[in-house]
Amino acid sequence: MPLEATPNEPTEHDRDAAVAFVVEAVAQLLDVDEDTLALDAPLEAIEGWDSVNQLRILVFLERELGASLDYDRFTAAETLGELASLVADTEAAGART
Amino acid sequence: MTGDALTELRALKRAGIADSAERVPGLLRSLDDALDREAAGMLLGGRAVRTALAATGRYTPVALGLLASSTVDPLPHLLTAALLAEGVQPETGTTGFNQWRFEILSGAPNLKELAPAVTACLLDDTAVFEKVADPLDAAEVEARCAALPTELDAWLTAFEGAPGGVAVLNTLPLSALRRDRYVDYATKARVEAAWHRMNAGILDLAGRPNVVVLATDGLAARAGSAAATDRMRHIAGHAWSQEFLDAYAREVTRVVLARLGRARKCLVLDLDHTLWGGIVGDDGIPALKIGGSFPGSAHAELQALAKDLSRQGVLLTVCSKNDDAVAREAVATHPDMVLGPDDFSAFRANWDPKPGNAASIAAELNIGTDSMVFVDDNPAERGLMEAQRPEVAVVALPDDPAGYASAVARAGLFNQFALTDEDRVRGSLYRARAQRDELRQTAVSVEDYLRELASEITVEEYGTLNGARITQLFGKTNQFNLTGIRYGADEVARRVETGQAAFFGVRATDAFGDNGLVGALALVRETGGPDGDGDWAIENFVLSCRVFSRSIEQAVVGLVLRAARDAGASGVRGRHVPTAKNGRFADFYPSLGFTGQDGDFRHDLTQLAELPDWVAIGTGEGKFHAP
Repeated sequence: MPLEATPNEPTEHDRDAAVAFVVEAVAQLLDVDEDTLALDAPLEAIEGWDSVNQLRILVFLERELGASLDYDRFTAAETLGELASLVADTEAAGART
Repeated sequence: MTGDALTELRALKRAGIADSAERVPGLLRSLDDALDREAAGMLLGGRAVRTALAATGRYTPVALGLLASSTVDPLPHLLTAALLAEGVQPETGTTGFNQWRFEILSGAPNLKELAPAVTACLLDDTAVFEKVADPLDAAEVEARCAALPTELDAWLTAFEGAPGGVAVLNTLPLSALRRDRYVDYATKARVEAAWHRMNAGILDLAGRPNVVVLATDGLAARAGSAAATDRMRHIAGHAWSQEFLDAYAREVTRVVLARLGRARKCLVLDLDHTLWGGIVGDDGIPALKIGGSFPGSAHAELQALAKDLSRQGVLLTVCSKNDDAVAREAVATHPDMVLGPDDFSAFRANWDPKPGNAASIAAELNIGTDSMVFVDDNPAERGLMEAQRPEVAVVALPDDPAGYASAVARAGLFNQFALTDEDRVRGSLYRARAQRDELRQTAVSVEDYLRELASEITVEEYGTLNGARITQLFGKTNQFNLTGIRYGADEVARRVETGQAAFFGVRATDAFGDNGLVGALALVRETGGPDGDGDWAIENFVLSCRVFSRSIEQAVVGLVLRAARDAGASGVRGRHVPTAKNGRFADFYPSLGFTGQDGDFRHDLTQLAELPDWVAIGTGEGKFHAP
């Protein structure tokens, strides 16, 4: 882990923020308790997770980020942690000016 | 992140929503993003929350059918959010993907049991092109477009059989990808023409009873675009944009409210900076901006809209912080006023808080505050009204007066099914009532007042001329509505034809003019029960609040009792079924000598009380009779 992240690499702080952001979005949309959402648990195991709600979460995250997420990476994500990485990378890429 | 209101709704739900159910509508109204509204609808649509909300008794339950020719996943949730905001809790039933046609043509296997009051069937251009083999063949597209309205007409006939109720259809937008596929202008125009003829044919179906056809372009303009983004079209298979579905859900909500008799009836208008530009108390009458150039033009536009609403039966009232004399003088004398003193059914210009003034206007007009719409440029006044009188609809005016009239019109809070002649003269009816009230204050006793008022009632048999008004009275009357039963136009016609029920209207005139048809009554023959044979039953009796407390209700029931006795019946039954609004009349039947309990009453016909002698009985065409 480099001490100073390059401009297009998310920092540790960015990653933490992305985790909190994804957890809140999923908890809000599926109405589950945030404390029950483990980063490494399979998304499939979250109550209410189905293909329709998965798309709701995609649209919701994209609205909040103001940017499109990579669709292939999004559908391939199996855990909240992977979703958070995708969000962090997207934000960092967007911050490159 | 998300709207605070959504976070708060979620917190309420976690804490047990039953204790804070009254806060739900306000929170929902403050969500203006279509994604948040969908999330809120999901949050409040789960089984446990539904049960908890229903148990509070604050929400009117309604069953809705939902059909579509494409994926509309967000729609049930958006409808839940839009309806709960208006105090209505929907239970939605739907069918499989693109089964809108089969469901109805096969006798509504999924919807029949739910018996939806309103069924919305949202069609996109799939309904046309799924039956077009070659979309480049303009002749084939033309033929398909010509066939669809006829198909929908047959579909509606099947729909009347099952599930029945109100059907909401829509015009079909032609999607850009379809339209822009043709390269030559002649074909573009030919397909476009066929498309417009088809939509005109679909709109013509609104001539059928219990059918509403929504113009999609109007909703699309409100939403920005009807079509889903290209990305969502591919990812989720959506045909409609989220914003369009939200606008559609809000429009269907207006239809449901009209069906439940909950359309609003009264516009409460501020004066300074709302009906005119400027402050009359500071600037004086000549300086007020009305008409002419902007911003005066915008205030005149709002006045003209209010005038047109009043010509369709909406009551106009003033609620302004001003000296009464100054405000009245401005309304009466400013040469550019579109509205005049005669357009207002009630006028409050004083320095009291507006929520109290709204309540006093409601009391004066004998309407509920929940049938009012408040229009005021001042956000503080709007906020106070929302906080203290959450049942009053408050129009969120933009900062710029240019958008005032559009905002009021777009709210669609007065939408209803069909106007009657009665609606068009309602304003003058209410002004005549103000004169009656003056008489009441000068009369020595109530009885003297009633004698001077010289009411006369005439019973009218249901027929083609009064049918629409009789149906509307059942549909719109909330207070004096003894059993809460409402009837669709086709239902009344069918039951009269098959001899299941007899329907009547009651017309009232008095010294100040004709009140028009003010009451409606449904009579059936009672069957079964120990002493049921030979009884008549009043299935429902409704009376407009304009004519309460004038003994008309006693006279009507007195006439029913006499007609039953003359026909050889052994008794007359009447019921009171409690609704949110009719509690005042729980003892109506007992007060007339009926006996019984739990809302189930009967009058034997051995001894009948005198009819009130200050109500004259017109010898019109009608006398009550059982079917």
